[in-house]
Amino acid sequence: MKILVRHMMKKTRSGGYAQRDEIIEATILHFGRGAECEVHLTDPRVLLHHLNITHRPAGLYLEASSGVEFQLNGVLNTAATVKPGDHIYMGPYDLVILDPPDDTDGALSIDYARPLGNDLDELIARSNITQNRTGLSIRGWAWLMLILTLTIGLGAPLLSFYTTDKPTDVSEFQRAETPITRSLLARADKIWQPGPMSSVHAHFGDECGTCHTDAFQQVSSNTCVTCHEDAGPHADPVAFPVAALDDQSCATCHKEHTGDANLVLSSEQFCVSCHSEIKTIAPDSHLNAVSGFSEHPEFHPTGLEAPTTTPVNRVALGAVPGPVDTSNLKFTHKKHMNPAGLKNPTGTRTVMTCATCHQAETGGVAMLPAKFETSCATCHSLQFEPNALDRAMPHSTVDAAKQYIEDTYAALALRGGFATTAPDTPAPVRRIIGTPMTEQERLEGLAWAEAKAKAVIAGPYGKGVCGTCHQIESGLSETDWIIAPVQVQTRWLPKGEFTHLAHKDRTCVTCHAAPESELATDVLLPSVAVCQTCHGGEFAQGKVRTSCTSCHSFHNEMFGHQKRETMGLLAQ
Amino acid sequence: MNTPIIHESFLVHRGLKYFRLAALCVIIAVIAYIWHQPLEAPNGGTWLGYTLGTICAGLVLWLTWFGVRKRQYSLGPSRLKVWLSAHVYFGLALVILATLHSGFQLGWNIHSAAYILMLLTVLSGVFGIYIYARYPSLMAANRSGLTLRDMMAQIAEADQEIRESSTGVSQELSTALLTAAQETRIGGTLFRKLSGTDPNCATTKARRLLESDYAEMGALDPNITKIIALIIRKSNLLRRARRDVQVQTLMRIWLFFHVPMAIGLLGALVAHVFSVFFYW
Repeated sequence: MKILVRHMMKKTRSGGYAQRDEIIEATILHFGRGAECEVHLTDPRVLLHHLNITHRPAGLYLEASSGVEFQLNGVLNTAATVKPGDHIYMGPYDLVILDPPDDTDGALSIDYARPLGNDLDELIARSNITQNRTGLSIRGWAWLMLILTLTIGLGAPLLSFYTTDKPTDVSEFQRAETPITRSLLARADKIWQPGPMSSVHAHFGDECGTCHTDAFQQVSSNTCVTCHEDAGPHADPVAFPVAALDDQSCATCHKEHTGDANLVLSSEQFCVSCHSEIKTIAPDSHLNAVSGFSEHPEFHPTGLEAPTTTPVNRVALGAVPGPVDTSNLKFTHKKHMNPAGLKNPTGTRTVMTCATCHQAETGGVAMLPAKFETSCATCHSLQFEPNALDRAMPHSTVDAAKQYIEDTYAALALRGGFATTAPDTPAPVRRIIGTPMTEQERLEGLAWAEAKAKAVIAGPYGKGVCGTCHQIESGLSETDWIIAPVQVQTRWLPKGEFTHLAHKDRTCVTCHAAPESELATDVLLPSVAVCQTCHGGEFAQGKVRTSCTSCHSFHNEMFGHQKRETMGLLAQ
Repeated sequence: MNTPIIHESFLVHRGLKYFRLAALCVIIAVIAYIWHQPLEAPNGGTWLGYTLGTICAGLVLWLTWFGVRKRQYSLGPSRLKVWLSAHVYFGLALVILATLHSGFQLGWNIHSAAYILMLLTVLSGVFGIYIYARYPSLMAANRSGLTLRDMMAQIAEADQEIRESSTGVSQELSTALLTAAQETRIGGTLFRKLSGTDPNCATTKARRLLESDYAEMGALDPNITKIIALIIRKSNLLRRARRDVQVQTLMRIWLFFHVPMAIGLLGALVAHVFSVFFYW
């Protein structure tokens, strides 16, 4: 077989072709990269043996090596007989079958049509070594962040503020029947909330507009007193106008948005900043200076003075003379708390404890007043007539008791059957019960009853029995005596708040020196030193931490509701 | 060419002048914070809180202004160095000042968002300092006087030489070498650039093939020996080129955080200050 192979070589400048013809004689014409191939191709994309051409009677026969194909006039083939004019695409090479010159069996041209590109250019094109292909440029990301923060942090909350209806007052939120009209962006302003709401305000805390009613305005105290209408001034606004703090807004002290931490100032420092120098700040004040719980002044209990009911004395515990609280009762704790007990009417002995007379009120804060009927009557009988033991004076007013005694003897005289050996007892009174009596006898009986009642009222079973416990004030006659009114002070320390409930695990005598008390006027409060054995100041070590507000309230309702008056709310 | 040590000059500029100034500010602020005992827990709403807040806001604006300053080429490199030194130390001081301003109160709100953005900005800035202090010398050592473009040109040259030497090699090797020439790439995705390697590198595969299957043949065939030498050379060049891309990317990537976070901080700061006075 003799084949003409025409090598087409691209001219670099003009774009035309230079040709180089080669006559090859071989049985099989091999195309490939292999050195033994008759048509040696250099492109690495072709195989060592890529294609064979043999001469057959029908023409040139092309056969690709296994695994490769060629395109014959656009159609994929692995083997085919070709004729002049056929175009074969073989990897980077194009073959064109030519009309064979006379002395050959076939002719073809070969063109290196798709050479490998420039390695550097291709490497650069494939590689990504620039720093700006990360989706967005730095500037793009920056804009995105700016828009994001301004939208979420400023735009949405503002829109929410201006499109949400403001409640006219806080309580509106508590009424389900008046729902608040909300925009789509409702509560977007929550992102402005600098910290958690206090537990007591949390139920409306998501609605910022409840309190923040006006833009660029501090929350008004009027908003606070919508609910807290009873807040009193700190001090007497007439005597101490500065300490009444009327010019301060609620928010000066009551800080929201830090949970429960700062809603109520409990700082000792806050109080003692004024109260340690109270004598200088307010010379007219009767308060003692205090600089902390460990230096707390001794308690000055508010005791009542005899004989009037209202004047009070405030003397420090432990002073000489000490504080006195006059109840107008005769009673000593020492006598009643005799560990051996006290004789009772049945002849046995009753041992009394604190709880015999003192019971905590339901809330556990204070103690209930002792009652005669439950605490005293078992021993202190109000019977007055040995021959009528079913009769006892009512523990009521003196007049009622006297009346009862008089009525008792009148009834006994009219009924008869009064069993007595007393010689001055008239016969009608001793007559058999149910027998009739004359008018004369009746007058005689009632005269006896009146005399008897007078004697009892003025005697040991009347005045004497009452006088066991009560102060008796004599009148013009023997029977004309009265009892000094009983006055029991409900709170010896009205400006301090103490709860028995919190101290129920202690025994009563831990604080109250009752077993040693020999006077009814003793004020059985413990000294502040007793409190200080367990309690220390705000930052005490090894003791229960106690701040001023543990016992004292800043706002004193006893001075009225000055805040409301200032704000003109009382006028409404 | 004294660029490799420029990182030292901005950190120790003028005998740590700005370090001293910034440290002084921080010390004064910390003392004030300890001394100041507000009635409530320390927070941004006390007089000290407002003072620190104002200082911090001013610092944020001034620090962000650096982005403008550094583009003012009239400033000149020495003045810019002064600015950079101050930028670094006052940026670090801002973390402590802003923390004191916050009174250590954090939550899910715009105020804490501004704080977190500030932290992220400074943190990325610290990364930037580290990069600028360490990488220019690494980069110079890696380059050994070549640019990335030079390395790529040499890689292309190696490919060319490999192709010329490999006309007669086996089909398997020819394919591997062709793939190595046509599919090897430098860089790519951000992750690829940052990793500095390419686990699917066609050149590495061809090299492994050569080293495992053709090492013995190389002793006999000078062509194979040459190809092995060339592919090792190409591998080394690729490693350096990828390292160069990695370092360049690292030297720039932190700015992709630093700048957007800083601008985000500006937005959050505006919202923070506005909201505080809007809901006073």
